[in-house]
Amino acid sequence: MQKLIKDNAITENQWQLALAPEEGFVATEPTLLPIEFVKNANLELPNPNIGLLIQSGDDISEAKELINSVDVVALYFKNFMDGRSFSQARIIREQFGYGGELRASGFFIRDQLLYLKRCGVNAFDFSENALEPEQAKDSLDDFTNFYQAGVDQPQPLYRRRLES
Amino acid sequence: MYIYDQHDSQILNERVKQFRGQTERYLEGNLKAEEFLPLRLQNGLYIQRLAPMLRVNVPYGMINSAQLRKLAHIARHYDKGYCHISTRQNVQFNWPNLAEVPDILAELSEVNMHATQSSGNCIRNTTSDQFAGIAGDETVDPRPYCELIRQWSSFHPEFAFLPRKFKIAVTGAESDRAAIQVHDIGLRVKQNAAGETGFQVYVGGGLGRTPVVGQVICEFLPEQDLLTYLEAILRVYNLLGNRENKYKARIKILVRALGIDVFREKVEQQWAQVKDGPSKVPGAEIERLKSFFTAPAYETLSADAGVAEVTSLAAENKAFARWLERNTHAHKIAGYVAVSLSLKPTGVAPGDITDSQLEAIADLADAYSFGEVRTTHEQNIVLGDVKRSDLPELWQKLKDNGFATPNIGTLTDMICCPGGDYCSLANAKSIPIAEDIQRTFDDLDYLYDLGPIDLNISGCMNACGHHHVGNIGILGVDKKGAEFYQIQLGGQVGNSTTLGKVLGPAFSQAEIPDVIQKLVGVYVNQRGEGESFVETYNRIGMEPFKEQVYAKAD
Repeated sequence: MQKLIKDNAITENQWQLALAPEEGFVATEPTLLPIEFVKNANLELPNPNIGLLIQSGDDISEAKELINSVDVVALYFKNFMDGRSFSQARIIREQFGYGGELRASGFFIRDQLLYLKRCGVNAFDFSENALEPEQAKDSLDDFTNFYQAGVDQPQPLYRRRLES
Repeated sequence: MYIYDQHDSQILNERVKQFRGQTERYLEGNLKAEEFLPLRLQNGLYIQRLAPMLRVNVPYGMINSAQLRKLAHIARHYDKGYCHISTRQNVQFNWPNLAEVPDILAELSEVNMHATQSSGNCIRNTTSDQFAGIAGDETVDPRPYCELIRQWSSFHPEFAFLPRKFKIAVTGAESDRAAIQVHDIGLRVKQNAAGETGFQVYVGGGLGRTPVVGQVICEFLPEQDLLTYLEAILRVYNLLGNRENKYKARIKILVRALGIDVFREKVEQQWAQVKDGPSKVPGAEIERLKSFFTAPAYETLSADAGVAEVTSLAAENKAFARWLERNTHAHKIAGYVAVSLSLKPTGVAPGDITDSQLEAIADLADAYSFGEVRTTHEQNIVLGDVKRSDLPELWQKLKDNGFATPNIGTLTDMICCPGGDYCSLANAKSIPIAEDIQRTFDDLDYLYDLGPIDLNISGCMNACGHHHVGNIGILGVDKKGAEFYQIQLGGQVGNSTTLGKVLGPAFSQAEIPDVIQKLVGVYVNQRGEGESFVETYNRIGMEPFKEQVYAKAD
């Protein structure tokens, strides 16, 4: 089993990625399926074997209901320089009110972990990149104070300053 | 000036430590070059033609004497004894050693300075009017809002991997000296009829390969909504900006493709989600930030204080008179003036400054201007609060240090990028072109007679030297491996921002001084009473200039 960082702890990854499932694919174990595939196949949700895989180019603006019907959503990085997943994460947490697991998958880099966490990502799947979870986890503590609001700290510093 | 509290210091110290770790991992071979690239860029570190270049932020151009002395120390100990003022009011070191950059950042943090996001595909240093807080035509001091934006944008988790770089400029004056219409976002702070403070918001301006003048997306944005609105614009851009082609990735291309109305609609959709959330800026925070930008301890002086001394020296000393005319500027407080220190003497790369000059400026700032100075986007330095009666003494000291070249606003006060001498993107050198022109126009009386002319030089189409908005713009191009220079005319920045038009086929370096002389000659022959170069151009058009420059000798 591949390692996963979830809620700041290292754990085992239970979910497999299906980046391009064939038509008619049936998930018999926990599988992250492309959001378009799930939509088009009209799969019945919730289903304990189905989670969603969102690519950075996917338009999620109409997907609130679908996202809220699964327990695991993966934001897939084809390329770590593509920062759309950061905005997607915030929309999923702050606008859709999603409370399940939101994980980063694919080719992100260690130095993005904290920003992803600030945007609402609470799990990191290292199965496709060369990162060591134990080392990568340290970067979550690179900063302990922040200027602007995030999913992890909805009060921006300018509000916290005024209160202290 | 803004003073760091324990939060600001903590965040900056954590950043210094983070970058030290990233650099170590890279040097030990534990971080790939392509992964280190965006991380070092977000700390202002480029790998240039000859050595790394480190760009240090001067937030909205404000810098104090302790910071100047620190920059001098860094120039001396980590570099070759000089640095460079950029067109976005920042300071660039051209020869640091990569392994020492974490130490440089640690030294900078001691004086509340940093290189955070001075490069990379993220929100860059916010720039402003070099006369902010002292200009007579200012409605609202933009600096508290610049600081608000600086803090909000620093380490913003959502916007560190944008499609491309993102630049914001703010002005609070009637006359725009911050070039807000050629920024990704331009903000004009103003007051409405009810006396409330807010912003006119421009979006989608920029120079580079595809120069575009920004469009108004919002006529009046209340001040407490500033950050949520910026966040909405950035989110739409982050999600929809072009990520396939870096030459089409700036927000200007997206705004143009969607049209301003559709773009506005999308921004307002996002804004509605965050507008009244915790990121709405409380009035108390705006007041807190304003408290850092209060007036220094000005003396109460009469409006004509110092006028007699200054006038009598000007009458007997032509050099002083010239300097007084070109390099000093009106101030809103009676008896005070602002003074420009020219970093454009002939023979020095425009904007370059040595370690000992930095220290000299620090001393002059302490003695004459409450210990603060400003960097300008024209690559000069301003002492903002000088008593008029101190001018004769100050002028003498500025002359001794090489800052009194009386050419502010004239043809030889050129904006010029580092060009092919340093930059790995450049097609052509730009510094030698600037020097050739300065040597050609060395007659100060002639220069003054020509009046204000903005001449801007870029070494490539990335347009760091803002050639599109120069009255005369010079662009370095590569023609079959040789360096050539294309000329543009009619560009303007400020309230009547206009992009220049190409004159015709490009010239060799050797031809440029003669071409500029001919262009100026057309102006001198055709100008009307009191008409500036660009006004004459606007009246008579391109043809007369073209005819003169490309005329075949019989």
